[in-house]
Amino acid sequence: MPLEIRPVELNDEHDREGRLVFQDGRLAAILSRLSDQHAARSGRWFLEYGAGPLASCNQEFDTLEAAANWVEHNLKEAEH
Amino acid sequence: MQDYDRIIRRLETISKLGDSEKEALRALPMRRKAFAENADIISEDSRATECCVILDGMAARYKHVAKGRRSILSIHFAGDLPDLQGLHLAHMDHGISALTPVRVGFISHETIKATIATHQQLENVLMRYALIDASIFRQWIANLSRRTALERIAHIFCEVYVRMSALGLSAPDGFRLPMTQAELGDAAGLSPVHVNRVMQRMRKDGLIISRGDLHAVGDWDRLSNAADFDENYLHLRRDPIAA
Repeated sequence: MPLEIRPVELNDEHDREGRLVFQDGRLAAILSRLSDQHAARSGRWFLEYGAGPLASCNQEFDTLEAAANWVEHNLKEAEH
Repeated sequence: MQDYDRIIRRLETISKLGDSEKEALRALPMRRKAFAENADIISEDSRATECCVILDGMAARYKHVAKGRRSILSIHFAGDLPDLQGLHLAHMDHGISALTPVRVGFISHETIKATIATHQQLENVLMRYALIDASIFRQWIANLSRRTALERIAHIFCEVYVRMSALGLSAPDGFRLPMTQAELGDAAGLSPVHVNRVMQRMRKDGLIISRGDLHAVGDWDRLSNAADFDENYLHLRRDPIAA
């Protein structure tokens, strides 16, 4: 089943634009879009939280699509 | 300042040295070499036959972990002897790399062993140095295992400030910590994103005042409280830092 991605506002002073990533109706990850406070990193997507197999990864991605692909791939890997 | 005076100044932050020990240190033959920023001074898994001493610049001990990640284990300044353990443990279980352009002196294990065989007091000082090294590692373990992101970064800033001040390496307008946020993250077990957020908060709260890599302590009491910092683990000879 494909991932469902919902926008969410985060309670951070600068990095407010977020996404909740669900798989089968369960929250799998929270992503944030890095604000201009992050200089060269701004605009990138950051894994703030990963549930279960995605815990403690703190990955960064160039695009939201790349982040979603990574989440999907790693969840599939964890199933095997 | 002469190269040997840097070693003496460093050792005197933890123990008093007599004239005879200072003379013995000055008599140690030293090979000098310059390294570019990020260069490996000693590689992980190599075999050490010499001890190195940082003469100028800053270096870090590191260890590579899986998937290309790196952990920074300690930070070193002029006069530090970051691989003293090599005297008895020749296999390098970690590496040492240059955080800035550095000048390093190398002194052979053989000559150090011969010198301390005839200078008991110098052996005691080096033993004390190695034990304090272990004390600093214990503090870093506590930092990484149980402190919050802000406490970890604030603790590193406190330690760097106190150690550099003890060596006379900080100026009234601040101290230089030329580490990138990625490097600070490697030292604090945090992502560069978290390091950036924490540094911004520390600046906003007036704990530190930063201009590039020049940092000044905005409010020592609040910074050291925020860091849960107590300099006792550094076992410096001098009086505790004034508030």
